[in-house]
Amino acid sequence: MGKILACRDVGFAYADRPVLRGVRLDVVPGRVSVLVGPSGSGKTTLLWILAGLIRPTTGRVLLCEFGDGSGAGRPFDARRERLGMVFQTPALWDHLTVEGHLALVSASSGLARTERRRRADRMLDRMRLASLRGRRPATLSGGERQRLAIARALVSEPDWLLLHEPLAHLDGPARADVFGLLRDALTGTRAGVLLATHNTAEALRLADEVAVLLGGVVAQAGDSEDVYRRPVSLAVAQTLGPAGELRGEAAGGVLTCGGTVILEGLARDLAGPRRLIVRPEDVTFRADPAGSARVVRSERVGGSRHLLVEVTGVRLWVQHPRACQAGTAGRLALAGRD
Amino acid sequence: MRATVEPTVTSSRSGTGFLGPAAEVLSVLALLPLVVALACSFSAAGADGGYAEWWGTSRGWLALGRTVRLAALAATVALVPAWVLVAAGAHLPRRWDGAVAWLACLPMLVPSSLLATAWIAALGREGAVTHAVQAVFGDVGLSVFSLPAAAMAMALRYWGLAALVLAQARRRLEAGWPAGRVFRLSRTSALVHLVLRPAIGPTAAAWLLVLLFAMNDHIIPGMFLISTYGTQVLIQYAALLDPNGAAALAAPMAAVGAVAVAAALWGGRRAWTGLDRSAAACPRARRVLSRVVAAAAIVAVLAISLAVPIAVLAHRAGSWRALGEAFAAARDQAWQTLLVSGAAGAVCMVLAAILASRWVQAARRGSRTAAPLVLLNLTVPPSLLGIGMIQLAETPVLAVVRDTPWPLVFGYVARFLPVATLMLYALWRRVPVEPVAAARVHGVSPWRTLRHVLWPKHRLTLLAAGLLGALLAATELEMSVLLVPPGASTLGVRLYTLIHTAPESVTSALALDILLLVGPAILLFGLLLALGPRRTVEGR
Repeated sequence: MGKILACRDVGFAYADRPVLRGVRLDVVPGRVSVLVGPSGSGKTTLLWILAGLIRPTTGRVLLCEFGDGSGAGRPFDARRERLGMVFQTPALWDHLTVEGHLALVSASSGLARTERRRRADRMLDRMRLASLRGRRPATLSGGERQRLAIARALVSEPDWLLLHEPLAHLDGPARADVFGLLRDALTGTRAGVLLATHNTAEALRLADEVAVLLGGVVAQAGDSEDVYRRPVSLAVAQTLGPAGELRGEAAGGVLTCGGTVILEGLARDLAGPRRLIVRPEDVTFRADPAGSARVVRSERVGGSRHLLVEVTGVRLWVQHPRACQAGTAGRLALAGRD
Repeated sequence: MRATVEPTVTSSRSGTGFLGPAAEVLSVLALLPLVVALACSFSAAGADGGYAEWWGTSRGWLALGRTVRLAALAATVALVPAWVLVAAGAHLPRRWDGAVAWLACLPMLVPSSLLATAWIAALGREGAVTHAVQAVFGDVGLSVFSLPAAAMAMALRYWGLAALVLAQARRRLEAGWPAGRVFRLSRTSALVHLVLRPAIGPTAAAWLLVLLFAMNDHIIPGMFLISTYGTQVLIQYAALLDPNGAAALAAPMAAVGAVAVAAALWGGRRAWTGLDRSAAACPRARRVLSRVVAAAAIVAVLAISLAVPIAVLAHRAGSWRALGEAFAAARDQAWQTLLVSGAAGAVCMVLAAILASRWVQAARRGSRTAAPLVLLNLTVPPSLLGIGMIQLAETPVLAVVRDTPWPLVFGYVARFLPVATLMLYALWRRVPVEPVAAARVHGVSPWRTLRHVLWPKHRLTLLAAGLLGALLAATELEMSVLLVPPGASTLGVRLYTLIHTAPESVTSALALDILLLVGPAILLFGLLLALGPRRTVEGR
């Protein structure tokens, strides 16, 4: 495996307002890392630092050997690396045609003219922009503009690809269309990809690794499945999707709080005080007038239902096959997972 | 006020790293004539008319009083057409805003000597309008040689400035009107709280700005034989050959100007903090009748401020042949005007681009820059800059440019660099940084970024800024009368010197020649202003 792009204790402050603090993050070639976090968590700033557009106040961005956590490596100079970026706004050059965008970027790649043209044509075909090659951005639809922004980022076959909310301004079919093209483009890529977004559903469909940025700090980073299933905190869990936290005493396969059974189906050998972070698909609800949980409301999510359930003052979402009346009592049980 | 901070591009990686220090040095250099003039005003050589002579006695205070009285009256009168235009503009399609503002500013883009000549022809003792009024009302003393009429003539030169400020304020006011309707405010309540109260600050700001420009106008009052501090400065310098004394009289006016601008900025701070989206989305009245009335009001105001004086000039000139003869006699001056104003415009364009980009960069980062300091040059009396420039040309370092047009060019640049800088800053502040960042990220070299990304987007705006600098230079007189080298006068100066000696037909013809010369440039500027900002900011 080649070099990795590594942020080592990167910090940044606007005037006296710290935005990033001690960020450690690795971007690995051939893998898609997703940076998720709410608005204002520092995603934009981190991407701009990696792109070399602003300098970190503290820490360094390095190119180092995979698995080397010593902080050794050479400084990452965005000017000298082959870098591609999709900005939050398409950031297109209004006066250039679709073809002109790709020509300007690939002209700086040092390749022969014929090769540049071949790559540009291939990218236009791939992004379904070939028939629009003579058009300017003002005459393109939102989806076409975003496809052009992606094509521009990919045309020089970059080693590092930074994607900043690439679907932010799209909705409906255009969003699904561009997402499909983006997924195809990233499949099998040799580039190290960092995608910053607050849309976790799409992020998790693309991600090999996930880093959760909260308040300028990487709260958790690692394999996407691992971070989703084993979040270190409720805040991390909620960043990646709906989640609730139940605290109580585990004994005999149930979790009790103040003598009330709040969750069933735990492993029998689990004992002592426990804090469980559960997602809607982790828990089932069974109507039972003697149960401690109460349905607050029911909402349709896609083809299924989610129930907002309250138990000993804690509210959490539970996946359920059908709607339930508000106030229905019942029991919560783990759905075959701990 | 704290600056907005947002991610911006580091200068050292933009390939424009040298621009930062260059802009700071440039800002200081642009202030050099002012600093030299201020130093000159304290010189002991100015015993004939130094600070003690002017301000230790009543002479300076009387001149200041007369100046403020004239300028205050002019500023008050200017508010009337400005508000008419702005109120009427609310009924017109928004795309007309730019054109209407440009028309309102037209009188400021023609030489003051031309306008003064026109008003003398119209409202002088033998003026066409004066005779018409006398025929109807008898001798009511209506003449530009009287204070009220002179103030009106000055107001009709500078009212566009007030219109620009108030137009910004109106957009903010419009934002509040729909809310007033939704919440069913009474007419009185809506008028007081949504119209009058928010309008006080911008109106005061508009008044102060017109006051400042009217105070710093040395030419029109002089041609109307009204003694202001400006006319005294010119007399002190040109007739009494006492630059130090002239500087001592003009220098305190720089402080007055700074105070006026500070007060205007404070009063109108809500008016120029940018337009919010709710205001932009505000629907407008679409009734045909209100549009017709609005258009008629605008045409009437423009007719009084421009068409009447020009028509009178045309009447006095008599024929096209007279225009040709006047131009033939002034061909050298016309050529000289084109050369010096063209050079000044080109230099203004380049330097303003450097200063504005630095200013925008600093504003985005929340850091400090000296670039806004150049605005001082616009607020101080132009004669002060002229005197400073003459003193600079007297130094051994600049001996090579002495008795050449270059001090005049440098003087124009110092004076009008703030206008071009402010124009570019206002536009570039709204341009997103991402397209340039995208070029950098994707490895486009600084030269190619300049050639393929920046220049196509900004060229019309830059040309507009340069043309504006050239236009203002071509129509400037206060510094020109001090700085023109021997044997190389400009058209404006020629008209100014002929006004009391040559026949009216000759001066009228020459004034129209000037208008024919600067007219196409004004039209081109309007065109660039219509196309440039749209391409720069919206990318169309």
